[in-house]
Amino acid sequence: MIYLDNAATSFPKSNAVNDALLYGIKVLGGNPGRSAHKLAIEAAKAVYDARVQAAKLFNAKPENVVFTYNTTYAINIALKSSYIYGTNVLISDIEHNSVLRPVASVTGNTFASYSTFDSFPDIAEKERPHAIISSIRSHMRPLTRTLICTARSNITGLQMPIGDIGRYCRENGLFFIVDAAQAAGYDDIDIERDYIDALCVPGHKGLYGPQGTAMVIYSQNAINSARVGSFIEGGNGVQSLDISMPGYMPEMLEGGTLGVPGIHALSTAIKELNGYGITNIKNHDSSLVKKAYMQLCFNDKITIYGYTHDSPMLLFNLKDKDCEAVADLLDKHGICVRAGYHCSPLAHKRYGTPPGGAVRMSVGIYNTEDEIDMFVHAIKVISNS
Amino acid sequence: MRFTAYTHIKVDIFMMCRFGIGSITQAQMALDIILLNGINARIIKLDAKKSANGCSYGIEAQAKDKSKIYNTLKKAKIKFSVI
Repeated sequence: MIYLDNAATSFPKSNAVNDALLYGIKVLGGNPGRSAHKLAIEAAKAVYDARVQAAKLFNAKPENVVFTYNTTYAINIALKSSYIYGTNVLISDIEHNSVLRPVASVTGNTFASYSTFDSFPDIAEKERPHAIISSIRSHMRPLTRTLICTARSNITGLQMPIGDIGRYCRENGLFFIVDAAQAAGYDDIDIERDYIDALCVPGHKGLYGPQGTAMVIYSQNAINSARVGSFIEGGNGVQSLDISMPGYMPEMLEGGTLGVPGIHALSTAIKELNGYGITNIKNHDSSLVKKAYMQLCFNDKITIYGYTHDSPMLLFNLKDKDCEAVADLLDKHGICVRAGYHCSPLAHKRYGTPPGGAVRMSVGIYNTEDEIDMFVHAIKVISNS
Repeated sequence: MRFTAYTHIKVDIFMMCRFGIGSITQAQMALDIILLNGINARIIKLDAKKSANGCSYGIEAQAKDKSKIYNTLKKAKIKFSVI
């Protein structure tokens, strides 16, 4: 089997990550932050170590790492714990439903609403940051207080200039939330350098951790701003007699028992990732996609949407063929890809894909050049059939 | 079925000091800093009856290290109370 659906979830996971998950279930059986017996303390140590690993990767403080279950939860927490009722939210025109739906939900019942700014996928790379900031500026309203933006499109891998957007947000008092679903583990993200207030990170994609793990990572600026309050209320082992959640991080935002085995496996995955080096991963993945692109781009039976040289994914359609049928035929060749709208109707509209969407192949660190050759061969066979 | 009988139990009694910290995460942070400064300590759960807000965690160490821990936590800007 050739797995080219890493943008949905990376596969396989390393033996060390698999072992860590099992160790978490078999050994780290205590509930962190509830008791002080050996098992509970060992579990707490594992969770704290994961916070430290994640904090190092994104230049944050360990206590500002909040564990959650997936990026959608992370974005919901980041938005809904900081949203000021009645204010306007800005998002880009290539956002995933994990951004669009919560934004529509929080702004829908008020007189405020959300606006979309242009991501300018078609203009020269050098000109994009300036054009994007101009578009943001033109969509600002008197009550705009939050901006949410993906760091990379989940359908084409288009990178957004989050450092430039972050600086604009900081200068204009906007709370800046970044959806790093496709960028974490692939791009160098520094929460302080890039002026990010809340970074939403999946564990199961570019970090190569297990499914069911994710984080919201806050900057100290965000915590100091007093914009962040609790979102999920419940027990967390401290201040039990108080009816409110604790006012400090991360317990303010972590209600209920954490998924210790997954968090421990994620911690192991991040340590491994540091060993590989993010730049090496990016070079590996983008060179494989480039190889596929170079072999397919001259084929007039194939339409490729929005290819960029540093992307870990390729979006395409075959002439006169339904994208789901193409994915199904690729599956028969033993190749796993994803077709459809990829939960990103905004982005598909922006790129002008036909009704039904398109096919996305996305690579990971375990893919090889031979696998890309087999993928290209299968595409040629299907397009000629 | 076999039973093990403990005929003698050795108990070491030290004079201990305790610091109230707050959550398990804050206690972990405090412990990390204390250990980095070469002081031996451990995390404990504090008596919930003695806190107005209920459950919380703290640090326990030998009494001779009390002032060193006090200064270390102050320097690290970690909020604590001496118990």
